[in-house]
Amino acid sequence: MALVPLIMFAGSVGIAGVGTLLATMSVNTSGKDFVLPVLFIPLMYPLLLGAVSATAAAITGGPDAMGGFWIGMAWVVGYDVIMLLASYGLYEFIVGA
Amino acid sequence: VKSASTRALIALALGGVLTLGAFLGTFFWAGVPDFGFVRTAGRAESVRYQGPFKQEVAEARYLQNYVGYRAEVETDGDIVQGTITEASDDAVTLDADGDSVTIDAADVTSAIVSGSTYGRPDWGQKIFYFHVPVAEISFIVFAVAAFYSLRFIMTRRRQYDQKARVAMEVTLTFIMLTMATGILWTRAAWGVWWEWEPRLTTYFIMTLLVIAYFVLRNSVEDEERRALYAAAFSILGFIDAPISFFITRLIPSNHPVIERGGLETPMLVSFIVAQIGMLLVGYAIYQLRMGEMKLTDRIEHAKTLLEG
Repeated sequence: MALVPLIMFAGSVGIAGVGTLLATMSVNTSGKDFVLPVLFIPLMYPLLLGAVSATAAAITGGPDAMGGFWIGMAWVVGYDVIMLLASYGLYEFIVGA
Repeated sequence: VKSASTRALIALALGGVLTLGAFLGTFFWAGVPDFGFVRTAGRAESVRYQGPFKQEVAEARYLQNYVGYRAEVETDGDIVQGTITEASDDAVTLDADGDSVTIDAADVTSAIVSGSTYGRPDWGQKIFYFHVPVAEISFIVFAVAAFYSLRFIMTRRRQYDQKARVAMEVTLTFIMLTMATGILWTRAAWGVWWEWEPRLTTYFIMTLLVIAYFVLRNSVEDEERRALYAAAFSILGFIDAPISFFITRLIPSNHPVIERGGLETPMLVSFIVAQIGMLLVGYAIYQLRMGEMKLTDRIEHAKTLLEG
């Protein structure tokens, strides 16, 4: 249970990073409120997958669950790093448009 | 060959012949694996006849499953041989050379049934030579789209945006073909049309990403902004897409994976021919659509000239 805030933090970083880029894009579209989820949900899926399995392992607890927890955390952190770098690189171009 | 569209048509014809040839050829060349074994009472009228089977039945009431089969039923010191005509939980009736013999299930000490067994050919496996190349090409064309998107962001030239868009359309076509053939196969092999299983789920997510690309394109008015947003989204989407490719190696999945050296020569050669053919088909569709876009551009240009 003590590890849940760690996942929440790592997951939030990924959601915020990609979400900011997509929100900047969707503000300038004709269907603002429905374009964002259409873009956001499929892109978020790998993060969601890792975060959910890590959370499940953290709540179950015990030595057996720790392997699953770290695999889930590896997904989340890997996604965070790659997507934040990509979003950071693209953000300048999107804002400049 | 001079013209791009002629080249594309040649590629389409060649790719079609290779793909279809590999697909149809495997029915004759590559072996048909067995899907499972089927038992029958009589001689199996099948080219894939396996041979006779003989089996002891653990309990007398299981003889109900073997009505019509030959049976040897042993009671206290007495053996009755014949064909089972009727069976229930309590008694079994045998036809022993014209005489009908009924035995109480409680009296049966042992029973052996015999018949024949044959392998059920797994014709559904043949879709492998179509489904897998199509799925691979969908990933490759997605990579091409992401590459042109990157080129567009770097150079801001309209032709790269057009190329990325056309590549994305081809990706969607191939994704839909993969989905259609995959759904047919899961129905044949697993008995269900769809299952929320790692490979299928991530591929479905990839489908949503490609559809979202076109939703995004259609909801931005300004042309330059549309091209830039679409390029950014396709790059982000392509970072997500390979997960579908690798997930079967990370998470236990029902979806089959080809192992290294897992294909026999006829299967491997057919598979490679089908891959080359499908690559040509993908290239041809891309070039033909590209030619159409260029023609549309020229017509628009001519229109503005005439009006002005």
